Amino acid sequence: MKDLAYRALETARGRGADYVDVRFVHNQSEDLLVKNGALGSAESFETRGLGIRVLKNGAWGFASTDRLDSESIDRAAATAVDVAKASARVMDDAVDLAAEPVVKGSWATPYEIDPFTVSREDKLELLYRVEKGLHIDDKIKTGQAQMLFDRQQILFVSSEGAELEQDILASGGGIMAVASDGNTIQRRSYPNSAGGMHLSAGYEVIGEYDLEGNVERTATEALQLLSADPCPVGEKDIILDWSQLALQIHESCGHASELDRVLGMEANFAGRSFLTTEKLGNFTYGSEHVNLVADNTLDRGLATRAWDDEGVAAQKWHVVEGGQFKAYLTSRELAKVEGKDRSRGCNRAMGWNRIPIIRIPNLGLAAGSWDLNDLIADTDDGIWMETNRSWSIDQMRLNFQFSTEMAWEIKKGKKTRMLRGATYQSRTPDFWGACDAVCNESWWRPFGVMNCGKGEPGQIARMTHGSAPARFRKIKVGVSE
Amino acid sequence: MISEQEFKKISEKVFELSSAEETEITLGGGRENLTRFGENRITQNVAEERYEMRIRVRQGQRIGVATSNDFSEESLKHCLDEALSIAQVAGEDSTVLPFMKGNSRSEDAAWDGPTAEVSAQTRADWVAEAVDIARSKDMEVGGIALDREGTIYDYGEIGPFGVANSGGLFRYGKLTSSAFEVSAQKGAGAGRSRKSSGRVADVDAAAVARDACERAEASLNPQDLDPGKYTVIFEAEAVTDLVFFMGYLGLNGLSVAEKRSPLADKLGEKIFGENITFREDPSHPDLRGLTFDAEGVDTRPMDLVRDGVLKGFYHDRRSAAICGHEPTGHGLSQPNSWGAFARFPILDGGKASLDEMIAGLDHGVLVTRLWYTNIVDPMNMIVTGMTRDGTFLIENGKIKGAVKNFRFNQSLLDFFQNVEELGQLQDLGGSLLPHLRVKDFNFSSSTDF
Repeated sequence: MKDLAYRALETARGRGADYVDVRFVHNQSEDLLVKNGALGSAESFETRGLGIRVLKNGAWGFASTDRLDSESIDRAAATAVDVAKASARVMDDAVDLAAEPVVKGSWATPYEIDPFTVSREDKLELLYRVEKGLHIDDKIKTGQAQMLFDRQQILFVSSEGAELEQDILASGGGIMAVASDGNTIQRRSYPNSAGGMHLSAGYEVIGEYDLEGNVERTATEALQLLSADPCPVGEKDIILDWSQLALQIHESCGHASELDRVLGMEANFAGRSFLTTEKLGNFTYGSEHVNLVADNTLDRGLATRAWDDEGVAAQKWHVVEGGQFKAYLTSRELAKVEGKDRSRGCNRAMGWNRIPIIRIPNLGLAAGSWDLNDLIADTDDGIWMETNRSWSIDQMRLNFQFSTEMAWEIKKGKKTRMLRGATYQSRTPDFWGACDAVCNESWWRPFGVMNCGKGEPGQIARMTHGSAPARFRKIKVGVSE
Repeated sequence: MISEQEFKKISEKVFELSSAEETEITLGGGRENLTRFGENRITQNVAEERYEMRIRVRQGQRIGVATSNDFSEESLKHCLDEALSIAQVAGEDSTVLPFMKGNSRSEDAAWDGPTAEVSAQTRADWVAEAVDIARSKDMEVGGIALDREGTIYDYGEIGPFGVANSGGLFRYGKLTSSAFEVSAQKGAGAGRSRKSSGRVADVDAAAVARDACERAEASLNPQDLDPGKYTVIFEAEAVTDLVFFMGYLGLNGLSVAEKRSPLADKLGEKIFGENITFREDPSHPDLRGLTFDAEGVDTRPMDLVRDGVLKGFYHDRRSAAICGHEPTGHGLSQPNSWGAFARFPILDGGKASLDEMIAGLDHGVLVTRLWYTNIVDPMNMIVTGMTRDGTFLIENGKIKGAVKNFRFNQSLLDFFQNVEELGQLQDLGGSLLPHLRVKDFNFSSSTDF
């Protein structure tokens, strides 16, 4: 495919493009889902295609094609240049890309077991078995067990001379039980909601999750939730688990610090951000315990790779340090807006057919000093909230409301009763400002997000948000009708 | 576009190569061109063309599926082998049905020649018009100009425009769509307007831009208003999310089959106010789309709710069989765990214009758009979300001024029982919905802007 990629590059240059990059992507995935004893999905998916991004007269153009013959590629390259010329009709300053060292190299996700070499029979046998195990009572209305494996092989070449090959693998899965008594529906998932837990790794993660060993507990908790007390309405100290913190970090810090959205480039769809440019280095985002670290070199992180989709090397940096807002998520186009001469390497595309845009990197809450048992023992009137269930946040990333699948009331340092429908609502700087404790490194876990939507046309991206459980003081809980 | 003849040729080759008891191929994709703008400039401009085939095989009660975008004979064989290998190891499923039997039919009523020919230059002209209007008002605009031929959807999902199976069913359809959306900003004022249609001639870019800017102007200096229960007038645009979740949580045949819908046992019962009639009409001239679903079932006109009484659910063939109902032509590709969804929705409206509805309200709130709506309690159909891009206080039949945005937590069962007035039907480009006046709508908190 290298010859076709270079053909596209040269055709675009020949048509007058000032800068060109071409990504050829071969995407292979396998999606297996067993639901109530039947296949909910069993799909092998494979696509190949090529995306051509150009700058002409200082404006962007992009075209993609999956017709991998010379004629189609020439046509796509010409279209990209024509589109850029049209873009130049409505522009201010010409796009000025921050410099990046020109590299030729390759990188692959480290893994132990290639999931595409494991027989489908073995995978489905496990899924059927664990799904069946969830049906311990007639009140379990839906059992679900699933796995997803995805490989993206990317070749990136640019008119600056970069030639990068990457082989990026994501693997994961999980189980879910939905219980209903006719009056309420309750759900428990393991190891995470929204399809399970995914990491940039191989099939070995499925064994590590021990799905079978968690079937009975998952189903039992779904049933217990049916008769659990509802979450009280009021102000409580809350302790969030890894799954919920992952969504909290994602929605209130990740999206809020995307520089394209801060500038208004997402205004029509995902919205803007309260972290406007005058706040950079000059805004208290949270308490001193809040350190939010972006790290695209993170072991097994879903955004981990050697280079982003415009050839910028992976980096690690503080977005929030000691509670202070320190940095944005940037691309080569916008790095200079942050006052930097280099992109932070956040430009990623969903596939060959979509243009790279700023995406949330792996972004985690750095560990603190508490042992989780001590933190619970230290909490007088609180709620432990576990496994994200629902999320909603305003278009400036300020007012949010989240709910979790399960919660436990904490009274005088002890978990006392299970709660259902646990919901909390706050405002981003107030919430992170109320963080007074983060658990230590031994409690730190990476949790993945597989379905982050952004952009027009829409793009789905993946990233990992690691954290250790953290406590937030006097947060509004429960939903008042 | 891959033509009807090409699809026929591909499908016949697949059936010839297949050793499965039954074989189905669906074809989707097409061309999508999208110019995106923000900060009063074009920030992104893309052209995409792609197609995917999805081969589904049935061996007795077992199913296997494989998808590819390579239509070579070698790839067709590989795709078939993949689907067959999955079917071999899949467990037997008593709910698997023989594939749909049927005739051969093609359609192009939803296709428009000029829409298939929109150029990047035309889209740039639209953006230039919007930016000129915004600059004249000292505003900033962002948005999209879109034209599409085929079935590439928002997140790159591909729906079928061709369905064929070895039982003789063949469906092929052509369709186009075009859209212009503008979000305007001036200080704390924000406004959005959009026009989406199957025909590019329906899109008046300047009118959309002017409307967005007028809305932003009107929403300057939003004031605090205490959260609580209010009588709220929802512009039709804001009704979209609520109708979607009502369908997803309550009217989805799979939720009914799995007893997850709070409406599962209420067929024939009065569930909403008598002023609520919610239906599907694929023959309506303003609702352009393909009139067959992903299994080739023809989508038929139907009542979901008539005069407040529950009349039916969206069904694919599987959920219909489980429930003992008829399939309605709203199914997605099988198998899936999502169920069936609205395709040509109409919530019947009344005669009042928005201005007349506002004039008839002494005290309440006008909501123009909702954002990030999500489920809180599925059994009680409680959803949460935010208002966005212009929320206003109404006093004595007049807009008194803009107010800061609210978060809501609201049961949709209550919502559709509390509708006091339905306004004129609005064409939202894929659905026909009225403005609504609803009492006791629950705003639970507010935000900073």
